[in-house]
Amino acid sequence: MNFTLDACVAALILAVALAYFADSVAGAAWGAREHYDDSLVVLGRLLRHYDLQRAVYSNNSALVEAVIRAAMHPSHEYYLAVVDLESEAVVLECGSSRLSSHLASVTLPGWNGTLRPLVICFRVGGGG
Amino acid sequence: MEYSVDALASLVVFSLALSAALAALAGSLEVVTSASTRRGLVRAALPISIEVESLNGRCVVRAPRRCLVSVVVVSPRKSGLEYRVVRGLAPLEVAAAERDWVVAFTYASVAVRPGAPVRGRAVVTMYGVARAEPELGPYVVIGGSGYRVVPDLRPAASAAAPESSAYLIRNSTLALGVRG
Repeated sequence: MNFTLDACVAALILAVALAYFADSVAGAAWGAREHYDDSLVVLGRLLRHYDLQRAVYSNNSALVEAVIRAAMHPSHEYYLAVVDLESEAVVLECGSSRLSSHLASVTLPGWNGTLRPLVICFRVGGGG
Repeated sequence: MEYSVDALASLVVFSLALSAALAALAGSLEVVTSASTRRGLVRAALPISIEVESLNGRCVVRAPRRCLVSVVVVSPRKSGLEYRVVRGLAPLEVAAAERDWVVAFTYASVAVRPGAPVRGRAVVTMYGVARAEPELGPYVVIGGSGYRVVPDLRPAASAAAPESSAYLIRNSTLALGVRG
């Protein structure tokens, strides 16, 4: 009976170790599929050219799309939403809202000498 | 006899648990190796491919999707270089003589139609001709009848799955890294 108890304890230890290992592997595989920096890299580069700010503050969604498309691979999709901090309303939204990649956001203080804080939320992903 | 049954039972229990653990480990190895190989970026490319097409004194800049393009038309003159910048949505048509250089930009791609040789060296950015090399790429350096695109990257393939690619900055230019 003692041997059987020892074997059960050993099997339990093995099961716990296996569960921990499986959790680590799942985390590693998930991390490899996610791209935390894509949205930040693209948004940061777009903001350095100022065309995106001009399009957002003119509320021109067609120009926003054209500006974003000028930086992205044609088969990739994006989602952009602009939130007005004063009214707390979404003032502009374009792209595919079905994407699930990580969202980057940045707050713009204003444009052309005016104070009008807007928050830009942006994500890059595939075929939403 | 009692010890024999006990030993046999313990052997069966432990063998089953060990077999299950080893089978799970072997199955996980494939996931781990594929995840580790996917992390490495093997090459960088420009995300977009645009092209300049000449049509009887005019040029048409084409892109795979409707996007903002900036076209710099550089005209070599005896007194030096003259240039003008045209911005608009692709496909964009601009007037350009045969001897003019036509350089089209997006934020992450370049297309050049060479023209007559220029004196000295000219740095063409998406905002015009600059005196020095700019902080943001891409840009084109024209010297004589030749030119050099910075960074020297090829456009990415028409299909680049987001799962196997990542955006990055390469030589001050937005690029697309393709994972191995």
